[in-house]
Amino acid sequence: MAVTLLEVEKISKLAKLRFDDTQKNKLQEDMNRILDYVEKINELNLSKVEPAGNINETYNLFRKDEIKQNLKQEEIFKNTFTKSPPFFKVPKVIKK
Amino acid sequence: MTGIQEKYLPVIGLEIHSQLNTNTKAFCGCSAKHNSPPNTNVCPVCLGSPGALPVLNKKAVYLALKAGIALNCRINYKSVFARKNYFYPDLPKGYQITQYETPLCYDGSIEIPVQNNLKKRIGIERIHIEEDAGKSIHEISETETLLDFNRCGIPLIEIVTKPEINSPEEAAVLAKKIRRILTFLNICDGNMEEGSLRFDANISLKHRDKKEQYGKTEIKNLNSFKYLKDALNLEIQRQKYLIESENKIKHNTINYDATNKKIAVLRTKEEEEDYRYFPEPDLIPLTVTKELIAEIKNSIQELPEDKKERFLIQYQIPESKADILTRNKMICEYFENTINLLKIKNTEQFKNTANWIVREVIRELNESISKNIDDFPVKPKHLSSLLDILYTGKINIMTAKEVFRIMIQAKDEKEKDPEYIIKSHNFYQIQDESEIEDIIIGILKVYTEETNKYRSGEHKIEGFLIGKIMKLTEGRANPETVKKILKKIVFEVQSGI
Amino acid sequence: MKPVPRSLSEIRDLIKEGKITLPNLINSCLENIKSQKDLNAFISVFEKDAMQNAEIVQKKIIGGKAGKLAGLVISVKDVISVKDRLMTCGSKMLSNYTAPYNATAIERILKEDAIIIGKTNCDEFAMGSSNENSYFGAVRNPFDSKRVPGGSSGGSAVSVAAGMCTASLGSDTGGSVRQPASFCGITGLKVTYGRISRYGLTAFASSFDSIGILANDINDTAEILNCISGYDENDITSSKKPVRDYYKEIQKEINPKDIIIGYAKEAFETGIQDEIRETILLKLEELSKRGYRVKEISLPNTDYIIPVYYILTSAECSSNLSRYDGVRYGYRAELEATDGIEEMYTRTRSEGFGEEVKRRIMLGTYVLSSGYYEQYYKKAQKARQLIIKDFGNAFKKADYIITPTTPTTAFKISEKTDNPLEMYMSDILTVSANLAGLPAVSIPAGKDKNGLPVGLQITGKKFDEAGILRLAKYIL
Repeated sequence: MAVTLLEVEKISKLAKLRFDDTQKNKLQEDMNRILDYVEKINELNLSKVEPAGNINETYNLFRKDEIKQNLKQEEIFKNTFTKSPPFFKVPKVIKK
Repeated sequence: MTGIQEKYLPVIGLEIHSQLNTNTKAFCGCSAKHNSPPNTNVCPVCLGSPGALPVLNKKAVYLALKAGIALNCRINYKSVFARKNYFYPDLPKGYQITQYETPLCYDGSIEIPVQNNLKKRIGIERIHIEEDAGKSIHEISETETLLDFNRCGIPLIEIVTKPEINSPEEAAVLAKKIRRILTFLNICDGNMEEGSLRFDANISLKHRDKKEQYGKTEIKNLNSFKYLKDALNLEIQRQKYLIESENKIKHNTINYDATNKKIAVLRTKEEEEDYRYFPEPDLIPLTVTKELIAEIKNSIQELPEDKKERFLIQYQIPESKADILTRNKMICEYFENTINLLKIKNTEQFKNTANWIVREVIRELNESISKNIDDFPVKPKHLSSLLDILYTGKINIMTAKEVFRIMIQAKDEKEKDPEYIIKSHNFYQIQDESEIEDIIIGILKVYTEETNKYRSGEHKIEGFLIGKIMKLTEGRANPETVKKILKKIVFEVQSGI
Repeated sequence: MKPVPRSLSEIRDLIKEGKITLPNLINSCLENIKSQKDLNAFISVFEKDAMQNAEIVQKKIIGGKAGKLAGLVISVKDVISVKDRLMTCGSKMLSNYTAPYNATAIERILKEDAIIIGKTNCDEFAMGSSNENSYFGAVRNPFDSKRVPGGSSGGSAVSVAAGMCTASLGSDTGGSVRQPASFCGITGLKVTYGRISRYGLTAFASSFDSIGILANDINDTAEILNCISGYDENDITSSKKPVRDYYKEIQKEINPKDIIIGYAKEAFETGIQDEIRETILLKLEELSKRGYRVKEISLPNTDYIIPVYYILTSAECSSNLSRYDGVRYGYRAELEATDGIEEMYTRTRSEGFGEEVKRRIMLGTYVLSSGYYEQYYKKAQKARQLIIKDFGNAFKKADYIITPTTPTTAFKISEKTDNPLEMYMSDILTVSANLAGLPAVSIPAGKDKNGLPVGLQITGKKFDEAGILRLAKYIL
């Protein structure tokens, strides 16, 4: 199954990435080459196989409901673009 | 409106988001307290800093299971967390940790009362655990959206009902009942203004005769029972209009504007995000033991509904009162504690207690700042003693109310004791009938004209005379006794007045 | 290049004998970093702090109160959090990001008096096999600066191989510790999934990632492992299995007759450079001569390893990297006043990420998107189970599996950058340990005709780090 340019565009929207036309074409080519290769797994008979997950088969490790020390304000805002405690700020989220 | 409901049957399902009553967030040790200064309850985990990992809060699991058990759900002994991927500024990791394919609880049910004293069972599709997002504040700045991540990561359960609700009224009744259970079992504080509990409703219409089902929409973020009902009514009308005008109902998300009582279509679901759910690799599957379920079952001694039934039988109080008393677990406890402390225990006293709490205590409570009965100044000990005194007739109801007011304002324990208040204020009813007789005779001498009219059959004068007598005794006479003696003096004794 | 002692025990002896001091050693390391700047191994160097700490630890050593890692000069791959230090992850996205906390592994080495000399260059967010995908430029191989050092922990491998430090902490998602260790002629250990806490390790693919140790001396690997492994309440995927004393374990004698070494023929088939095949087969022969039982085992699903790996790691990475959105930290694109949130997201991420990272995000988003989840992601998770089973069966027959670490020795810079798939194939022998969560170590086994190091990989049963390190020590 080949990835279309339209799909590349749809996926880039989902991933919040933007590409110019050259990049899109290259991506389409790369993705198709990789997907073509990974299609190999279709050769496997997987009907009776359970999906992997939880690699170490550990269960039920919880945290107690106890308050831990938070970050200090200066640490929280050290890495922000706007350096504007007490809030983080982004351009206005325009309602769709 | 009824016209609509005759031709089309609304088919409604609810999604109820309820914050869980934990000290800390779902996956980190930050405080889950409301109303903290912005961005103070945050850490690398809930801010989505690189390298930080989630660790599940055991209390959240416990409370979610409690909800599941209370709503008669089946429990998945092994459930899996998933990531729901989408971008929004108040969602730090770019995904929400939730449960998708295997929720913690599924296949439950709840009964609600419908017309003619009947009950209707509504299915619970699933209950799963997830984390809340932060708060986006759009109102402060013209150009920027401000973000507060204190709420981000607070544990939620999402209760999803089956689409078996058939009117906005039913939806509201169901929502109220679920809220009552959640608050009663301390699963959620139920505070809808602060967003601890909020509803989404999906709705479609079905043609009653043609059996045709039309398109479905979702109304998001309703945080009061009234909004839920109003929004559903508006959406039913909108859908009906679309059907009648032969328009297709698109799978839209609807927003309800409570201020203007209007609904607005937010976006089409079809063009919405593809959430790309997949199992959360940073968390291990959640397994629940039979022992834990048994422990939780034991901890849920009685649900509000059961309590109400018991109150009706055990205390013989009217249903309307039992209903009010079982809305809140703490009020229930207050009621039963008062009853247990009564010296005179009979059905009349039980009714008196119920009446007093519903009429006086709850009314006072609603006017108080805290609204929490634990902070109420009059404790069951003193209330029971007041009710006992009232029952013996040593004071009348008017006096009792006065005493109660004094009790509320009293500063120390001693001053709250009704015995003490009655004594120190000389509130006891005049027990000596000859004393009352003297007072009545005195009054009759002053109001001779009225007395004559009364004797000649003008019955309505009686109230006037009794009022004068009560005023003179400062309310300490028993009105019934006064009436009896007054009649005796005026009609039987020829005392020459 | 200034000579620096190869191992921790050597350093300690020299300090005890008064022949060197720890500040001297730090000085030599710093000089080697400066004189070999062209190798581009470091993103940040902690000159002042390393020197200050060296003086403190020197005193502790003399006073006999030093921690277990006193004397160790260590570098840290720039995807692991060191509090109050830059952590760039080799990306423009985090080029200004200061870590607000210590990773658990860092916390643990600092407690034992290790000295961190700096943060090493790496492929962006650990995605790459050549260390050419760094915003801070490619890292070069000290054996031949026209060649790659391997990746993604390329800077870490170079820092150890080129005398800039004694050991390094890296991360291994599909071979990112072992492959550069092999290319640079040092030892690289990837532990069992969950043996070392991932807390503070920037996630690439959460169910594959593990912190790894690069060193010259296998004894140092064991000592560092002693300190950093074990359960961490901040990472519930970390294991509660008790930690063994790896250092003691590897000093024990082995009776070769008790040990069965598995020889997986699939690993010697297509695409393996002849000299590598020969070197490793020769090693197997030697082992057999010394009394080890070498037995052929089969890993029938070897062909599916790379497909499964790329589907799953891309999927996990696409989600793990969603947090880089310009909102709370990291790069944010310069915006026009009229730009809204969508523009901020898209420009920030398009400008902040490099090409390979974007390619994997795209691939991962695709395989998780509606309509493809079942076809790719779910299938790959099932195939992963088959591969895990393969290893389960193999380890019923053998105690260890020996293979080459890489199909080729270090390749030339730019040789494979145009063909991502070919680049991915260079991980063919290492990714299986990550797919199955197994421990594996790469050790130097010889050199090819160009004088480039060849690596030998030993893969073991889950949590048998002691076993693979002991065998490695024996082979070395």
